[in-house]
Amino acid sequence: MKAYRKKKKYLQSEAIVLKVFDFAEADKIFTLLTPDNGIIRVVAKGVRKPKSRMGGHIDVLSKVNAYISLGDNLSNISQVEIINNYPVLKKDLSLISIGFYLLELCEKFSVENDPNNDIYYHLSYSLDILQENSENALIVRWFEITLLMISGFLPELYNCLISGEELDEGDHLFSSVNGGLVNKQYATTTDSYISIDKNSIKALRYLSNNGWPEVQKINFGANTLEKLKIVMRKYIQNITNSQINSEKFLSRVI
Amino acid sequence: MSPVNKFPFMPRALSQLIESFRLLPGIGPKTAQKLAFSTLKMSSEQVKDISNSLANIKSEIIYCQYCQNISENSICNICTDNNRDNSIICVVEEVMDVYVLEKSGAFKGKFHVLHGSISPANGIGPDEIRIKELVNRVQSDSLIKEIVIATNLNLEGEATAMYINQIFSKSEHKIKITRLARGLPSGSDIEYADETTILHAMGSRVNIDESL
Repeated sequence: MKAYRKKKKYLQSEAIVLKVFDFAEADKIFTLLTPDNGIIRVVAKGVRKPKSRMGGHIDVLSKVNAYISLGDNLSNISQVEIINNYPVLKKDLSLISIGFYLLELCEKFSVENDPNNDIYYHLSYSLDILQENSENALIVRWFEITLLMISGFLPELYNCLISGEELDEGDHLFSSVNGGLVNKQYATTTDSYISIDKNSIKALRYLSNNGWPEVQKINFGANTLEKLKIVMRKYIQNITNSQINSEKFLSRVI
Repeated sequence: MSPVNKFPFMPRALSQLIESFRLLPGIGPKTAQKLAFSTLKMSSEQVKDISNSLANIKSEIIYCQYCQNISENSICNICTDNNRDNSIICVVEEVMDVYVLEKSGAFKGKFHVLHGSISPANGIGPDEIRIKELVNRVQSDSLIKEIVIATNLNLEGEATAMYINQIFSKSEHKIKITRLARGLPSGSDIEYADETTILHAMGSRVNIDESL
């Protein structure tokens, strides 16, 4: 006889709101990132009405404590309270656009109903430091590299992808298709590469090996950060196999 | 190829009508069936009227060339109304918002409908909504002195408001940009209000004589 396991019907969890869209007459569907359940999509009933008790407590770019009644297809959010509304971020258009970008990346790298504590806490920590620091471009680059590392997509930064030899301290090529550095002499004509100078390579290595407290002390220079932006954009596009929508808005605002 | 009949026990025309009603927001399978059976009970004239109205909505309604509101003519009734204040434009996200504001009688200026709000995660940037039309309109009309941004009070609405403010703050044509006030809705209990609303309500508190 098959063992009957009663399904858990309710869930109470901390969550960061990644995305929202209108649903039915006065409802919204929120995409939440939770530490223990990954991405969960929930319906918030009547939340578009001004008198909704939930409306002011839940919005994109907010950390909330959510009470969810789980359903087979869509789950319903029954109660919600704000943990952090990131008021500093929400007053500045460039910070909002960075916030949208970080949220979209987390959505792309997370899986529905699959726990990933690391992505959740990385996002939560990054939003906190974004509120307190002015080094926006550096925070974004550090966020991207760390997210890639957490998700198992950190590019190869020490050995040539083709020959396997240890790379010298010079300029090399970055292969966004294969994810890592390639010695110029082994580069094939069929693959497209991005030239990357030694300072940008050093910066990539430093960002991948250090936490924010160490990273924030270093001045990488605007040119290096711009180069890393190009490399990361190409590489992330390749991994996710899609365009990062908010990246376009981010480039426009900043 | 004709669409699959989802209700094989029903005549095809009826099941197609049910499926058509289901395309409307907020209409589930049960409501769609009720509407379809109600339509069946109507007279032929009534059904013809409904069918004509549905067809006309696409053929006769266009967007006003100034405010982007829906209209039967190239310029809508609000834009042609000489009794309205030409110096102030209220920017809203959707056509429905115009009707809500009109119903309230609180605004006597002109409107501009964006047809959405900036939502980068959903691929909607400034080019996908009618911000360019607003900029062109303001730049070509020196009578406009103020823009009231009445986008929704969520992150997308705020981002849209900030983006519009950023454009006009860089523009040579200096105009006043205002945002709708935020606060507690009438008839609500403070007990259930969220921190953000209370923060805004407290920040924009008014003298008791003005609020009565």
